[in-house]
Amino acid sequence: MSDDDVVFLSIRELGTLIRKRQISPVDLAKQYLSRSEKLGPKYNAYVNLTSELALKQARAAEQELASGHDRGPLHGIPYAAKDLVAVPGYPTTWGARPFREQTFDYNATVIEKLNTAGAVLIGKAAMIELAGGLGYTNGFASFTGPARNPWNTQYWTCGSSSGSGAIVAAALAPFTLGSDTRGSILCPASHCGISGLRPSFGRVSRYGAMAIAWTMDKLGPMCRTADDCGLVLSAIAGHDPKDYDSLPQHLAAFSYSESAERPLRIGKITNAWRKVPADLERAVDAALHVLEQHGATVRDVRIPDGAYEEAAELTILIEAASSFQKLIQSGKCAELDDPLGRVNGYPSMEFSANDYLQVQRVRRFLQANVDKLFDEFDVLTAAAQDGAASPLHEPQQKTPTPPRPRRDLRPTPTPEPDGVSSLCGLPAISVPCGFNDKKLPYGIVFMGRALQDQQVIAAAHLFQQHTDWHKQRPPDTTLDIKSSSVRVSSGALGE
Amino acid sequence: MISRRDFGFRLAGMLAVTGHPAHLADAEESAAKPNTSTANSATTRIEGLSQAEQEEVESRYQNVIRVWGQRLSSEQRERVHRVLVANTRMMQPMRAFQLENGDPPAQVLRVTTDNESAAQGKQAALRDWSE
Repeated sequence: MSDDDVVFLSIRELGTLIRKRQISPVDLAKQYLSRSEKLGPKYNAYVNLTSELALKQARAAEQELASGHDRGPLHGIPYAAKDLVAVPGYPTTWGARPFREQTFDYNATVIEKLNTAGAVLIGKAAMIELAGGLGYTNGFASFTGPARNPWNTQYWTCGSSSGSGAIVAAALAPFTLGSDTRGSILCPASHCGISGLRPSFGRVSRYGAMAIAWTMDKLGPMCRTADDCGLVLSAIAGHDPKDYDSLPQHLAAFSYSESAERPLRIGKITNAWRKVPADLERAVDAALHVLEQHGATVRDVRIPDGAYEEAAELTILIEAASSFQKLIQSGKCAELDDPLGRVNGYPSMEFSANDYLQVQRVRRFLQANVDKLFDEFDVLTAAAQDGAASPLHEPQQKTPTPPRPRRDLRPTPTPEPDGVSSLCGLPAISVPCGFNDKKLPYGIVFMGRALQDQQVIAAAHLFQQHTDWHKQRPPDTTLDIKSSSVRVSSGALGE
Repeated sequence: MISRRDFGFRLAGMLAVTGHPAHLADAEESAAKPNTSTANSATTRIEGLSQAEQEEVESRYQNVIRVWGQRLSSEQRERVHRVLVANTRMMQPMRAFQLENGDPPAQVLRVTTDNESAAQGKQAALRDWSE
């Protein structure tokens, strides 16, 4: 097995090699650090590497495992964290120029949990500035530059967990942490051809993570496989009194099981997205056919009409105006890279208290409408996005304003799955299900009832057990290093 | 999405970014430019907004200009106005939804029921008073 084969392995596979002592945590950390140093800049994937910390943690993992102290599936496994979670000793920039020197003297809870699990932090992943909290118009909205998609560097990764998506796709780390307020894990996962899980709201503590919108922010794993997402979620879920919205322990805790509790009842959303390319529709249908062949039942379902997008967007705008109040009032928002981000806080501060409460009162009905669907279905599914990645363009100086008035004032009849599930705090996972004619990945999303994270992971895992889209590799991700730092005997995984 | 992934310029022929609620971008892009000379631009109707909504937009716009105007270029002022129009359009279905007196918001105060949470609340209170 070559080095390049090793770095594209899943967490579970790497764990097997580590426990068979066919690979060492220190060598593994070095290999991913080396790739991240050399390939990371090509994708603008990182803000910083945490090499010193990584090697320290890897050595500790190696010693513990050698002495028989096994902390579980993440022990000795390298990862990167979106640069909005606090890690002492390194800047936590929130991807934004005004915060590029910002530091914290404590770990975010999610980092503490990964430390406890023995994972090895190798870097802070690049991201859209403020995770898009004050808005952005293009993928260049980051002080580290646009994250470039490993499948084609002329294309964007999507955001806001942009670096996190690129890192996993290019095998610079086996998993990353992302954050998702409205689709910021699901979209990069889809466009980068990886598996990204946005857990149920309140399941993973956000203490020590930048806030955009307190009622919508979630942290979650981005991995090579859905199975890996389950392993990571098991490590990072749980009650945290430091996060006001953290669920009680009996609800927040997550214990991953590889299989579904019963044959899955899947609802195919018939009114998702305004328009989806024909080949993406075919890819989703083919994916559902695979699931049907393996015991799942699939029926059409329609998301009830409702102003989901409007409610999600308004919630985020209003809460972000408060969470970034200091930045807006100080005028430092003018230092942001994106022209919309520089001004968007001002109009958002004009919303009234009544506006906010109105939205939050309507939100409960939208939530109830969607929840009811899960009386009949375990998971709902659709194309994860309405297409593949978009090309990166230099920002335009002035946005053209074509005359295209919106005449229909009814709520959109084609809700977007990531908007619906974000607004309602539901778990959702995006996994790759095909490619377009430019060899850019397509994704399929599974969303479930609140706290049914197990079901969405099980659906995606079942799909991946019988397909190999998640095993595809982007081009030009081979590291040309003569001196191999990872030595693995062939057949180590029993292949 | 107007704020997170505002790829309105795709309407001019560039490819779309996925995950971007296009109808919301349309809303901003189609919004009328501000009337910078008067507080009430009743003479320039903004399509899709009632008179009252348009007055609300202009009132909010003038407030932004009054408080933050010296920071904003003319181009930025135009963008602020477009955003305000789009925000008002997004509020329309919210305001049209029939709510009853007892319908609570999705966000409510949770009472703290264990010592750990209570301690956190106490810390927050101390910080508030000391600042």
